[in-house]
Amino acid sequence: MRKWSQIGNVDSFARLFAEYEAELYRIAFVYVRHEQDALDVVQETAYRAFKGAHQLKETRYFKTWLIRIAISCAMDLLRKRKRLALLSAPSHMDNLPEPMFESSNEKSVDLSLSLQSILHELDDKEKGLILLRYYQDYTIRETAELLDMPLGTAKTILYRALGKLRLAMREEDYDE
Amino acid sequence: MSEPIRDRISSIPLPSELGERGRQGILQAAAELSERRRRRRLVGITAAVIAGITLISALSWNSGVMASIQKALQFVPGFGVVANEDENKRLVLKELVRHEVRGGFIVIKSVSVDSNMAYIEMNGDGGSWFGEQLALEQNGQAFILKRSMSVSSLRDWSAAYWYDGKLELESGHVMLNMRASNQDFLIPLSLEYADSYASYEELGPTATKHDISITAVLSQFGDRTRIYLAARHPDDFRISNYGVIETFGKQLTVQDDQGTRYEIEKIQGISAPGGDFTVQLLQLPDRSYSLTIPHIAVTYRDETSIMLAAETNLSLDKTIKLAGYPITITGTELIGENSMRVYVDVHRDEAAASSLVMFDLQERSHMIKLNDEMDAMLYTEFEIEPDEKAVKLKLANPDVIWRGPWVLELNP
Repeated sequence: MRKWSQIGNVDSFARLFAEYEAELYRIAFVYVRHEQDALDVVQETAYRAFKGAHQLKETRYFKTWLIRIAISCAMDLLRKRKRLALLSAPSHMDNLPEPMFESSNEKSVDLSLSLQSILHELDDKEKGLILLRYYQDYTIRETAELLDMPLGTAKTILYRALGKLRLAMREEDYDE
Repeated sequence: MSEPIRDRISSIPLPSELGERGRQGILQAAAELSERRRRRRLVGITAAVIAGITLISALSWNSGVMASIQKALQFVPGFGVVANEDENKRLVLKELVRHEVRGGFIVIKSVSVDSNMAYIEMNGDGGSWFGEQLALEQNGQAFILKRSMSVSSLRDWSAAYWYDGKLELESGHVMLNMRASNQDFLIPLSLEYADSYASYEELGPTATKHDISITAVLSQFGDRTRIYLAARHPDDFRISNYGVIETFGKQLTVQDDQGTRYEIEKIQGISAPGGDFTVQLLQLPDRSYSLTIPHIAVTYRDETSIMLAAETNLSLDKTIKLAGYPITITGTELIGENSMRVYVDVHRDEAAASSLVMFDLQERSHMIKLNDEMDAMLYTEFEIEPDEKAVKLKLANPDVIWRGPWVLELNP
């Protein structure tokens, strides 16, 4: 278990942070789709994390905490891109379609998934669900908690995301 | 499904500077925590630098201090006007030095070496990167300067380095040894003693409006003219931008008496408030040139708080003041489950000498929407907890425009 003294010291914090920076970078990249922007997100994550380290009550959640910050930073960056434009339309929460697949269908997908599908077919909420559930291996319940959304909503968005990826795969196959 | 997704995401290549960027964020946070600075993160200079080189551009110029001391000023190119406390003993870099690196470039924009410390500021494009330290070398002796501040964006970066102590240099000819973009570079620098001046007017053409006096200091950089803007003004604000790039809807211009406008190239930096740039003038003997600054952006040191119910109420009428400027809260609106929008009237008045444009919300990640003219905030939006009944907003860092124009006749 991490000790508090490890987290409060610059060098120790830097070493701990380095253990997770590759995963944080890839999570950021999926959101912002740009190398320098993703690096900005990692830097901002490190900045916010060190400044807020004293708020971390249980150090065993250090990685989870970093991921939350990284997602928040990525979302902030995406918002800043739109900062002077009209703000976004109503939330995706409003008119969610019924789940497209039952949970048992999660596993029954072939392996021809492309990174481009993940980057381009999914909206920000869907990316969050996919990243945490399948890249970080959190359970759907943990994923929902991490993203501050009700479990049912998380399931709905996750299945919708999987549906989009399946559709994208079929189109890619067709194009080929 | 999990394996292919994990595989694809794990295939995203990692850039070489990843580790450096994480560490940079941590050092930045650590520096701010230790120095307890309240100034904004991306525009400040370090306490160490403030202690060693005192910029006097913000000194109240009505005090008469300037007039009473002969040759009291020295100009450090790229950094600003400083008090001459050690007459003629400050070595500076009078011309920009540009150095090509693999895939990009770096520019040494400011060097100051005095009896207390050394300070170097540089910038580069997205194809280059910077390290934690560099060395100034002379006669086999190396002085290590540590990075004190850095900022970076998608396209460029700026970094400042300092040495706490006196550099025992025998002459102004030094070698800068630095590692950037995983390469080692040796860059020769020729430092010269800074010139001393009795007044800002001696430094260059000066124009004054609303108790704000702006001076343009000119020098050459190859075939381009470098223009550095220095200002004297009341000390309750700092200048954040002269409009070298468009700021709140307006940009400064350089043109000749034939009406030809010249393209401006900003020199990135940390210490100077966005007033360092170059232009390529035609240099014809019969031409005269002028610099017009339509307005400047300044930031006041003030903050205030307000409590608002977390509800939709589009008929509010609450007025508070920030740095003396009125802000009327005209409405609040809940957006989705966890966002709230606060509509404001900042009482924009184009005829007024100055107007509040926008402010920050402390301790809350937020967005701001400006009007079409980009000079008045319409609303701010931020996240709230689903069960939050009321929100306390801390309004700070009011950005104000002071309207000119300041027109300076240039004689390159």
